[in-house]
Amino acid sequence: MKTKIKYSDKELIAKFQGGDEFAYNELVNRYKDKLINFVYSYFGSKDDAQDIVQETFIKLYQKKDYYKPISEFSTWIYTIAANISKTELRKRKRRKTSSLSELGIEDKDFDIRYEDDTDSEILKQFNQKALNKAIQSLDLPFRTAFILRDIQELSYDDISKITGVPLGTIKSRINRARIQLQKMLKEVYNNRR
Amino acid sequence: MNCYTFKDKISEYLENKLSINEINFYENHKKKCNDCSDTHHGVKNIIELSKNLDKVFLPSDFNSQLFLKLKNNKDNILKRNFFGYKPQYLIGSFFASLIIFIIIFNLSENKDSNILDFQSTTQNSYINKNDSNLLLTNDAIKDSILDSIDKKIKIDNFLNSNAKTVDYIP
Repeated sequence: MKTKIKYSDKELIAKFQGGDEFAYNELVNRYKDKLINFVYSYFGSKDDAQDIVQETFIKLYQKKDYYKPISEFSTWIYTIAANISKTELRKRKRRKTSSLSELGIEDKDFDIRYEDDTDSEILKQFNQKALNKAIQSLDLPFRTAFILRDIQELSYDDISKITGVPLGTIKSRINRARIQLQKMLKEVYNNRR
Repeated sequence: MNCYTFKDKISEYLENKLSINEINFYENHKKKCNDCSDTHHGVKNIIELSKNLDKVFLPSDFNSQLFLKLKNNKDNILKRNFFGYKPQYLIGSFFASLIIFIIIFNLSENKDSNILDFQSTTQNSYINKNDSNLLLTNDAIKDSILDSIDKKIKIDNFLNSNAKTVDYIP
């Protein structure tokens, strides 16, 4: 009976650097879902996020020899995805961000009723949509730190390594991002009443 | 503890990173300040909401699309290469080499033509044996060669030795 050996990320990348493309396939399978959620938080669009994730894995394939085992593989691949996302955001024309206070009125995806007994599923969807829009309206450094901590659930240390920013600054940015987001969502909820 | 310090400590409090003293100050301020209390609850909700955001998933054919794109990238790289070099570099190198070749060729041609001019001038020059002065018909040599008596003598001797073979037809 064949027992499947589970390789660590570092072992897989080492095998891939040695020419084993099955190792590459395994790395893609391990990280594609994490990366799509990370990048989706940046763009709010699944198609855009999919393109960025694809580009991340292509870069991984082409630049595999740039990885050195002094850092974790996860840190490295998140850094690639974050850099590609930032580059793509810079390239795009700044769209006027829709006012969050108008979300409840103009958003056509949801039929928001103003009674307190709104269906919980609709309310949940509304909250999530509001939060996603609020996240995208954050300044990039705060957005990145928040997404990596509260959505990707990475440690402060990992986030500091991915972003190249000191630990204290990361903690401060995450705190400020959270305070900003709660303020933005408070306005949305107040406008619903 | 003031409101500014309180807001600075919200995340640390929620992540249980404050000391006992700090927790006491924090909770006391929260009881007294409605605005800070609202902010505390708002941040707590944000953290909860973020953890429970619906996950996004890639389509089932993502891997096959990715490998197809990698294969296309490889093929494109091979097509763009010409003897292992990108065409733009090859063309650039070719033109650079051509320019250098033209410059060198021109320089060597000028040198040769100067020598030829000198030879043709000496052939065409009119020399009076009894006259130490040389009359040269070629304007190119007139101004430069004969500025010293030594040069005059050398040419005179040269021409005398070749007098039979050279036809001095001005």
